[in-house]
Amino acid sequence: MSFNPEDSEALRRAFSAMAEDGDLDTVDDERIWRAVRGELSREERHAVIEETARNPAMAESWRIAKALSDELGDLVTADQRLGAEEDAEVSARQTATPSWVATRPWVRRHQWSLGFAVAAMLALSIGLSQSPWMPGSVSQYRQATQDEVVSLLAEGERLPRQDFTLRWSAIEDARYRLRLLTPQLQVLLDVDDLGTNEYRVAAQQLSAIPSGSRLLWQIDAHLPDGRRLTSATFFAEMQ
Amino acid sequence: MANPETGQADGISLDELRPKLERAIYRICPAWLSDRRDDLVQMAMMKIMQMQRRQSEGMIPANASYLFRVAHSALVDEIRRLRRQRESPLEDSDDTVEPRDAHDPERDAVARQTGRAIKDCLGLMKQERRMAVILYLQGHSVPESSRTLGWKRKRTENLVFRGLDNLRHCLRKKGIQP
Repeated sequence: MSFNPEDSEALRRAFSAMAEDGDLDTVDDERIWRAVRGELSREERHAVIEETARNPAMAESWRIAKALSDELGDLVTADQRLGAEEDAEVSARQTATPSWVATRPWVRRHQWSLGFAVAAMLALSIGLSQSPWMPGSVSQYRQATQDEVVSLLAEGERLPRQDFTLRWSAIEDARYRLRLLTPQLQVLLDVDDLGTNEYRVAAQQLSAIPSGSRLLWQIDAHLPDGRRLTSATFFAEMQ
Repeated sequence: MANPETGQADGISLDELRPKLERAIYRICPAWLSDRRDDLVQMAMMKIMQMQRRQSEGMIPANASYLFRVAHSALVDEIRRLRRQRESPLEDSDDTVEPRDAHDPERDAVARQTGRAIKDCLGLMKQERRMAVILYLQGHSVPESSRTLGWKRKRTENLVFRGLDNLRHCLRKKGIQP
């Protein structure tokens, strides 16, 4: 048989070639779309992926959803939701969320916003306690270690729209994910797999942001040993 | 709400939408439908425009994510319809699908046979490896899989690596090799 299993593309083509063997009766395209977009819980996403292994019609629907989702990516990214879910999990572990929070539907719906708002408040309180005019303060730059990510911008630094460059402490061989949010907690930017510890935001992406706005930003550092470090939430003010 | 004159729906216009749809369809279109790619784009755009008309009447919400969901639904339905037609061409003789690769049925058969072997091998794999390999076969990068599965990147990478090794070993045992 003229097939090389070492060839990954050949494996992918073969996997997609059996779409006609699928069982259409059990395909829920809406659920697949939501799984690809990160709108389902992790457990539900896993269940859908498992079903795609058994049903080639579902696998085909997933491929189409992924291709469309990739194109939609810069408008509304699944990563935002997935990242929000990870953040919510981390936040839940760190803060031992009271049970009433978990049972309120509106809280579940807005957990990303709430999580970020809580993080922002924490960052603000940390920022105030460490601001240069407070006694015994230590600059964020001097605090940088290989086990944390801190902002290299001065507290309250105003950045020009044409050179809105965010900088953070470097960790050896880490890759970074940067998320930037508006004051209304809308995701403005979500870039992944950055190899350097700074990012210049294109002026065009900031065109709708009024001068004087305080934007929030956060870094995930993916370390070579598989660990992920999430920074506090920082502020950057638009000049 | 969509603007019926510009087709603008919460940050995306029809002019912006079309090339995105084209790219997605060109990426995923099966070889036997390659001659129909433009038709698929057109059909999906028409569905979206129908939806936008309903949005302008305030019947459904308008946003880019919703319109892409509509495109997904329209595309899977159309590809399935064309596949049924390909399998039973007499059902609708006005719109017969002429597959581009019809001249190479052997290649088609090999791909399907290999696909079935892959499916069998996946069934024998440990669940976590299986999920990582499925996403790999579906075209996900490791960072994408890592986020979809909710696992750390290193762990995902290891599972993909080991899972692919299992898969190749299993395929060789089934006699599928270069």
